[in-house]
Amino acid sequence: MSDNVMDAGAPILEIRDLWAGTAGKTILKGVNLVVNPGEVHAIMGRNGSGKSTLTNVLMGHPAYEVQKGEVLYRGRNLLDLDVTQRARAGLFLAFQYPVAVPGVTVSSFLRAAVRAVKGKDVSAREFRKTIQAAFKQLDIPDAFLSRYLNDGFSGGEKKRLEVLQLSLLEPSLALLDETDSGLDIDALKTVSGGIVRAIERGVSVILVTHYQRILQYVTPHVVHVFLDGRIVRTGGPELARELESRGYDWLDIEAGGVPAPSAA
Amino acid sequence: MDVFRFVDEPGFLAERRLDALKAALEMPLPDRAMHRFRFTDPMALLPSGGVSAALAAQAGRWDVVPDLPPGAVEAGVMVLTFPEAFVRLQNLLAEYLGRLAAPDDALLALNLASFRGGAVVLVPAGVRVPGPITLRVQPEAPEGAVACGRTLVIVQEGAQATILEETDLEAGLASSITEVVVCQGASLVHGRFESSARGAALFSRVAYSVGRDATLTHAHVLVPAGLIKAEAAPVLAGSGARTEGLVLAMAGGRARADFRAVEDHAVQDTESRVTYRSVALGRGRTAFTGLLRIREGASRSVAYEEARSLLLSGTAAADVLPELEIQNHDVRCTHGAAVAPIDEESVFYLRSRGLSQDEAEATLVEGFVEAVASRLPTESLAERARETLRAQLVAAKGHPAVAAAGPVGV
Repeated sequence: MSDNVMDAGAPILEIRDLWAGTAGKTILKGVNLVVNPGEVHAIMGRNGSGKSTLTNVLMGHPAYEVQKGEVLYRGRNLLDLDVTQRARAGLFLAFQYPVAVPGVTVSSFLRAAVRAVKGKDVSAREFRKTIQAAFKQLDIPDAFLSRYLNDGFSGGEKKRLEVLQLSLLEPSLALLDETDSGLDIDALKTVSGGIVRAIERGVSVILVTHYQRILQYVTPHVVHVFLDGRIVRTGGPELARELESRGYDWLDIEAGGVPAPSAA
Repeated sequence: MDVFRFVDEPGFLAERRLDALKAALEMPLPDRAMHRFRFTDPMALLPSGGVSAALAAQAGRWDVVPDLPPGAVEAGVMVLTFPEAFVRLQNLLAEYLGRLAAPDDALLALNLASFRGGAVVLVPAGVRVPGPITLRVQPEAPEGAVACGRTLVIVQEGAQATILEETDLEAGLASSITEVVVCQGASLVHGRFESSARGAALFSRVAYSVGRDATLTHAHVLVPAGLIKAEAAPVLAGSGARTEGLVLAMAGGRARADFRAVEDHAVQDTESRVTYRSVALGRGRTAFTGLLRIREGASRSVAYEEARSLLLSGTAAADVLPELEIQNHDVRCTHGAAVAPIDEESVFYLRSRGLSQDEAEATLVEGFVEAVASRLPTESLAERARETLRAQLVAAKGHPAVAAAGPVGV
């Protein structure tokens, strides 16, 4: 990890009754969630249920506004920090749609990101060594270093580069926003391998996904179902399999009047 | 009226100066209703009394410091002052001087009538110049006058050269006109770096004639703290001629950079490309007007123009106006233009990787200009452009870029 893990028993993330939205529209309607160090939480749900809003709000996207609630990250009030501070404090978001930045090479971007997050520069030689190893693990050709960031990349290439950053930046908590979408089976295995290695090194994960298939490679400790801006059901890995066979409709009925349970 | 003369000025030049003087006094200033001067008042380039006052107040200096690569002189390359050229290259001067950039309007006529310095560059047929020829141009004029200078470049058949002109105007008004002939089968890379101090105004024009199967790369970096009104006008005069224009303009503070490109396809099977990037910050303004002109005989020509401007503040302004004038329809013309503020999603992405707001913006700006910066003809020109951009961002924002684009030792 890039910084010291504090009290091993304390949660890494604690969301209490979080309400948030954008452009005057409320999307998150009372989210409660506790993530303990080293845990992997999968958040599943239909399109438009608010999953991506949750990851964006946690990362501090300026277009979203928190209306109510509290988010504690390693005991600190996360909502007091701006995006940059959150990243430097060990929070990481793997974007569903990473932006293209023409004119900025992958290499200069990665070096700037490592420098910014870790607060120290590494020698060109050390950086090269680290990055070549990371590229190899994710099947990314070295030629990518001189390409412009995400410019003309395929969906799969972008996702690999997101996971590469997860590995280089060594965050404490990673928010993975549909990192599995748009991947063929080989790419899914490669990307999942990168996520699993990060988990083995101790990162806590919130994995947002539509599909159960990534959960065959990345085993979650806890699975949550998101519906209309909150968590309506929490269970173990078996819940993901149940969703895969039954869909989400049965939860609509159950959700009526049922208070959102928290992940204890 | 007393007109400046070089010592031993040949008769043809005296005549052209006299014609130009008449034209300067008789012709109106360029029409602001036309795109060429839509964004700059011609009076901003002249003393308060206009052209006649500038002609009456002729004074100042136009110093050029040349720097030639080793072996160039031995290969026959000449970089001469005008008095030297009158002796050694009189026929070429008679053929081209004041002809490519003719006194077609009062500003151009003022320059020809009263230019008092400059350089003549000749690259003889078949010579490949081993490195860039650099001309450092230092105009100087007292209050009320316009410093006028000219450069004439002739690249003869099959020759290859890179020529850089660096003009730094420290005060007052200046008019800089360059005429360039790229003969059949020759290849020229011509770069111009132009700066003007706060309160200073530079008018600059390059007229090119590009011959059969000749290629021209013309690059222009405009970094005014005051005003720069710059123009590039290549005529693709021989079939198989190809031009590539690269333009980078930055205007911070209250600076103005106004660039005009006219790619004139005179004959068939010619190809031109123009790529323009500008960054406006503070209360700065940039403007681009680009005309693709396809003459009647210019069938099977290809022309491409792409102009993009980035606004870094709510008080900055940028205009991009592409124009097409097509008289032959067996051609392919493509153009694109855009003015936009910095992309907030991109800023969010970079900040989520630990970059500060200012660092993220600086990184995006450097990336934005890279489409031109990375293709500038020499690394020194590219580096000078990037350094100026960084300095302007630091001045405006107070933070250097952290993810500088360009080669990294990986």
